[in-house]
Amino acid sequence: MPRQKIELRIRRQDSPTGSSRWEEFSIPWQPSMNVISCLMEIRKNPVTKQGQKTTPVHWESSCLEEVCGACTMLVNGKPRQSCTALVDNMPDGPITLEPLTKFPVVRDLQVDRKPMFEALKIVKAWVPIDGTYDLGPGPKMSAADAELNYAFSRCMTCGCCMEVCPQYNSHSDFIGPAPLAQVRLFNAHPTGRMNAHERLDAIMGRGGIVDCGNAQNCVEACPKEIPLTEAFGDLGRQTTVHWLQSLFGK
Amino acid sequence: MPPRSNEIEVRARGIAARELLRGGWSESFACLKVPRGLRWSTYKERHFAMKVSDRNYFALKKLHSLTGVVPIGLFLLEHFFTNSKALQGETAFNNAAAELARIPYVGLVEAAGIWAPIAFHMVLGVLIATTSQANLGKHGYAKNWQYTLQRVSGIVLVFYILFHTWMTRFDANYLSSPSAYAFVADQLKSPGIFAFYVVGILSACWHLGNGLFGFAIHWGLVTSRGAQRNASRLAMAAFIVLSLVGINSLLAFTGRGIYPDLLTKPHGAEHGPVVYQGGQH
Ligand code: HEM
Ligand code: SF4
Ligand code: SF4
Ligand code: FES
Repeated sequence: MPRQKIELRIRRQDSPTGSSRWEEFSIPWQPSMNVISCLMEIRKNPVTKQGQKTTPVHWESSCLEEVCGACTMLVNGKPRQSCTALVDNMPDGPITLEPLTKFPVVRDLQVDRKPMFEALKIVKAWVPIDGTYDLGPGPKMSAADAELNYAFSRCMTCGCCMEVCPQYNSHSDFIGPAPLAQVRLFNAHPTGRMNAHERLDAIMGRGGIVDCGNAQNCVEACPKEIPLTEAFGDLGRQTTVHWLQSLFGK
Repeated sequence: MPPRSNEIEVRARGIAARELLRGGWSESFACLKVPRGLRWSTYKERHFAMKVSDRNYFALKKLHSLTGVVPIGLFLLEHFFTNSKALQGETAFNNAAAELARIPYVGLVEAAGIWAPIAFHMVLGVLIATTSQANLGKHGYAKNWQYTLQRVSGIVLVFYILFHTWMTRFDANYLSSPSAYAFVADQLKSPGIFAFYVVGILSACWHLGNGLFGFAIHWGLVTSRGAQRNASRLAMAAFIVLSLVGINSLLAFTGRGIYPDLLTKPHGAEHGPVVYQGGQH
């Protein structure tokens, strides 16, 4: 039996440096609601369950179909996309919403995912093709390779994997699973492979691949089912070979 | 060795970005201090903490991983082998211990093959453990248990190894005692010490067993999900087998070791009686 009312507990925070507080809301149930439509409902009339007037809850979203990662937050304590968090699939009782804890809070449920984007720059997660003349078409990729690479290319830098990784935190230098997996992707690309050693160099420092502790939480949490831990095994192999080659002077 | 051009470029970019952060951007960007129990000291530290191409760091971590298996892991196997001699009685164990002491260059072998690697692995291991933010309570996946227990067992081992060697290898009474077996057997009469040995042995077996799983991934020996699953199973099997052997050798010192006839060699009699003598000393 669908619920009549939806109760929400939301962790609010007015500014990046402010302190946080809990607020409770109760809104009427409608068919096919997701967490974002609940937040929109609250926005229409921002009054808490206790009848107190408050500010509309702030959140970030864009694609509304689980491909941009912007709406990621802790729903009932688990990191996931709020746009695909359907109310009717959730257990009874209040729904708890909190911002991700591993990224700086901008306001309420919105966080700044910039650390991930910066890390993508550090590991050179791209294929450099700029130049002064047309390089012509690149080499072909086998269908099997394309399929595996496609899995990695689905990463939407949502941060779920970073949130659950015990090695990614404020007292560790680890750059986290998502950027590392992109090294696996671009090093497998027929053209990207030409710069593979640059990406390997980038992840062989402090905070790089050796700082992963194999807790494998990341792969459990990834909504895109990206085989992150396979990437780390592969990167372990690539970096080891690269290291030995440089040690013995290739 | 001068840095490669690529390293220079990457470093330069890191510095430029750091300058950028130090200048206007970081001040105007209000996300610098993050509340809510989050100890992000500053936003910029988080971004650029990674020192690109810090090869020494890579080498140290590789060495940490390697020393866990060779020589420390190998030493644990040898240690269990010698301890299991206690199943064959007091004389067998004391002979085995005396034989070890007769290894050529024994002091050097011990220092370079055991003490130095353990000290190195221990110090770096403690440092590694401090970089973790355990979250078993929130995410209780099986692998997360393994990860957390790897760190917990490591910390237990610090205390265990220090205590265990202090009570034996560095104990004047032990070194001068006529029977090493009797000395240890006597110590184990205290339930507290016995329990401590059980915890220490289980920690060491877990740490080596599960460590093999981490080793296999860190060195890229297993990459596919299936291979990693098998590595994990093998690691758990190693933990169980090592634990049984380790605990049984401990029991041997109390005269309660189990030495099933199933496992004795059919021609064992040729090399002297291979019968359970645990209680006969
Ligand atoms: C003395 C205290 C010890 C501490 C504090 C310690 C700590 C650690 C830590 C934190 C790790 C995880 C490294 C990572 O995931 O990056 C580790 C891995 C490992 N340790 Fe230890 N350890 C100790 C003793 C030992 C002993 C006695 C052995 C051998 C029996 C051993 C064998 C291993 C192995 C095989 C690994 C796996 C290496 C890898 O993950 O690549 N450790 N240790
Ligand atoms: S790897 Fe998965 S969980 Fe991590 S950021 Fe990408 S899509 Fe999100
Ligand atoms: S395997 Fe564990 S430590 Fe490594 S990135 Fe994933 S969650 Fe983090
Ligand atoms: S809004 Fe894009 S993933 Fe939810």
